[in-house]
Amino acid sequence: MKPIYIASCGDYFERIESDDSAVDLKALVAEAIGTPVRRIGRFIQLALIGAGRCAKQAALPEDAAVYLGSGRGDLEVTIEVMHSIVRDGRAPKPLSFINTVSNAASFYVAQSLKLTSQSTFVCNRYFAFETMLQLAKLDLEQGVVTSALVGTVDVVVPPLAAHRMRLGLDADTPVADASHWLLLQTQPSSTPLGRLLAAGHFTDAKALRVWLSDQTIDAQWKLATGQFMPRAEADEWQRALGLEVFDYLTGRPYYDSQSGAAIGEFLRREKGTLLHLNRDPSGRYQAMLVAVES
Amino acid sequence: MPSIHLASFGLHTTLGRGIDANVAALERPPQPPREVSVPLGNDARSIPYYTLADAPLDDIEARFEQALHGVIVEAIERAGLSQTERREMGLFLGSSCGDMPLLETQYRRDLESSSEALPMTKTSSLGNLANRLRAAFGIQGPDYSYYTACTASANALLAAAAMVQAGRLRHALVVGVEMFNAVTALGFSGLQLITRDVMRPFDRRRSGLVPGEACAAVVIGTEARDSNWTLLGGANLCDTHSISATNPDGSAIAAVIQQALERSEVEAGEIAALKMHGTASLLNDEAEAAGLRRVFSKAPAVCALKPYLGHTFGACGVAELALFCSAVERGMLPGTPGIAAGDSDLDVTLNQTLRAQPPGKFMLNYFGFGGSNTSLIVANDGARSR
Amino acid sequence: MTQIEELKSALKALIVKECDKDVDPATITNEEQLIGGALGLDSLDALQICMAVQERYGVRIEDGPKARRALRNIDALAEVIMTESEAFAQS
Repeated sequence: MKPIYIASCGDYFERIESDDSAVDLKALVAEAIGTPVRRIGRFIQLALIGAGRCAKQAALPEDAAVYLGSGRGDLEVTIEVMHSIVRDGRAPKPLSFINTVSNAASFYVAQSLKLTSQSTFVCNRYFAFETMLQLAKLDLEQGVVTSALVGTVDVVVPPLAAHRMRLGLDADTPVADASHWLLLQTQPSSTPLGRLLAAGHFTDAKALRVWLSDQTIDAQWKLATGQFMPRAEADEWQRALGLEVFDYLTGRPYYDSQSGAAIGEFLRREKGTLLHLNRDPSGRYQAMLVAVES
Repeated sequence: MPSIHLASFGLHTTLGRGIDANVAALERPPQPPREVSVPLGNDARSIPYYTLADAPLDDIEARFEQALHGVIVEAIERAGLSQTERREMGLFLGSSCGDMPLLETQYRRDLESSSEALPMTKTSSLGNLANRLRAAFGIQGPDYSYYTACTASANALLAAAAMVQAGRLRHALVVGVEMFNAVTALGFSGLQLITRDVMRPFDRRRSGLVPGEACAAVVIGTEARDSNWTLLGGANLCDTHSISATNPDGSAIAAVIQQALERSEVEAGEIAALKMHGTASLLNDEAEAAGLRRVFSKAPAVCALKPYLGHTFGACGVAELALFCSAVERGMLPGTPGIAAGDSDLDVTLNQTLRAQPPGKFMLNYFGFGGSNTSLIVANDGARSR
Repeated sequence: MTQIEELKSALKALIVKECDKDVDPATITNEEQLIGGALGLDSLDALQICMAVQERYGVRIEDGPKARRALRNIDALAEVIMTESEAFAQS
């Protein structure tokens, strides 16, 4: 199977402290992709900032495919058209309606970065980043694409009290806008940051254990567990595997696809191999395995 | 690499509930749409819409889940999947509306009790629909909710096929869903794209689209089950010309068709018949016609299904596939009498009557907002397996 | 400012806001082409302007020849609104 390299990574991450503290993203978009983009909301702006920053770190070929995921989708534009139609009795404005197609964000990423290959948007409630990584990895292995820009976006929609209620969070939970991206390639043009070894789905813990028993785990490995895995279970995996813990979650404000931060943080801070495990409430698991040469 | 079999279909559209009812309805010419009252604040607007047969619009929430469960049961039962196969299969959903019909209904109800009510408080993820379906059908495999506008369920099918072909999954359930909602009706109305007439793609008199409801399902795997269709391949490419229109010169459409042919190892001349996207809007039909001319030196037989179903947006990938394959499997190519009958300004002549169609290789094309273009190539080998 | 001049500058501000253009409304001339011109507006902007005009002035501009005429430039748009809007007819 073709090895998959991580050519670059790019992130945006900003805690939203109050109802009117959201940063004006227009200038950041222009900085990240080199030109301002009009007629887009915060969700699409976040996608452009993260993807643009990632693309800047490496030579991005024009046939790179875009894999954009989200745990919820563009909450902001959906809420806007719902207010308009249901509450205010006004038909949605054409430019708002157009952006309710969720692939508007992946379209603008492809258009702004002048890409010509496929561009897709997929939602997955608990495993947004893992899901996109898995889809991109398969296409890279099959030779369907040779470069994949993989990312997730989460947007905060004030007022914060309403946002927390929508997300099912406690009243004081800190929340953040976030956009995490990796550029994956089968033939990187410069020295890669690391390698993606695995990205897999498991129907239950047993299936995950079978896969883990096939891996050659050594002391260089570190374990990170995802945000949806209960604390007690995370501790159990840590004990069972006997690995040092890589913690990227403590102190991180809430957003749905925190898993998107794991690989980038590991690349910046560590060497060795990262095993990332996450589970959803129905007992399904996702594993990501990444290696950074020491 | 193993072949990808389209093992079975389930379908519910304005034509009828179930595959057989849908195919039977192709014997009548396309019917004009009726107008539906679309709630707008405390008021309403009358907008043409093809709603599901045998599913009145009175209880939006109940009919949403019923229709969707109905097509999944139909596909799963026809495929004869065991409990274990069902548990381990992947779920690939393609939609443009997602839970919108439910979100609107809930918000309207909440506003009646309090003017301070907020939208999307009960459910706020485009991924929740897939999780509800997984829970209802006991699916523990991975789920992927494709929201790529009008190509959503076609793209979901391509991803499912890649997973099954690579051996990551034994089976996948691919579902397309588009149900009545005010955002879609009013949004397309605001774009001035809706007609009160039958949709007339590629016809001089084409005047726009009519939104349509559809729930559709296909089970795929590496062995034949209820149907004798295989997916030979396909492609999805992003046309960054404009978010709302594909490049009118046809170059982007030609590129995706060409890539689908190459990946399927099929020559353009081998395509026996082709299902057009055909939204009956001035520019999209022009682009599609131009794209075909670039690839096919001699056009194969072409048909369009939106005059029958309306534009079912995110669901049309699987809904039109299910209808097309089921008709051809019964030896019939769908026809649209009087639509693009031979004097088309775009030089496209649609098949006019339901006529005999021998087995062969077929192409289905889908082009959508956000520059998402998808082309699928399928084949059948004659005799039905049962 | 006369009523029509006020209307024209209001329309310029409306276009800049609705189409999310990063320009000073005053730099738009009354004669310059709105759609497909130097301003860089497209058919989607045209639809957005039509709906905003309908909401603000109650003047419905359908797609087709009438829209193309009305959206030719600020002068043309103001004239259509002055002729068809009840608000202006009464004043």
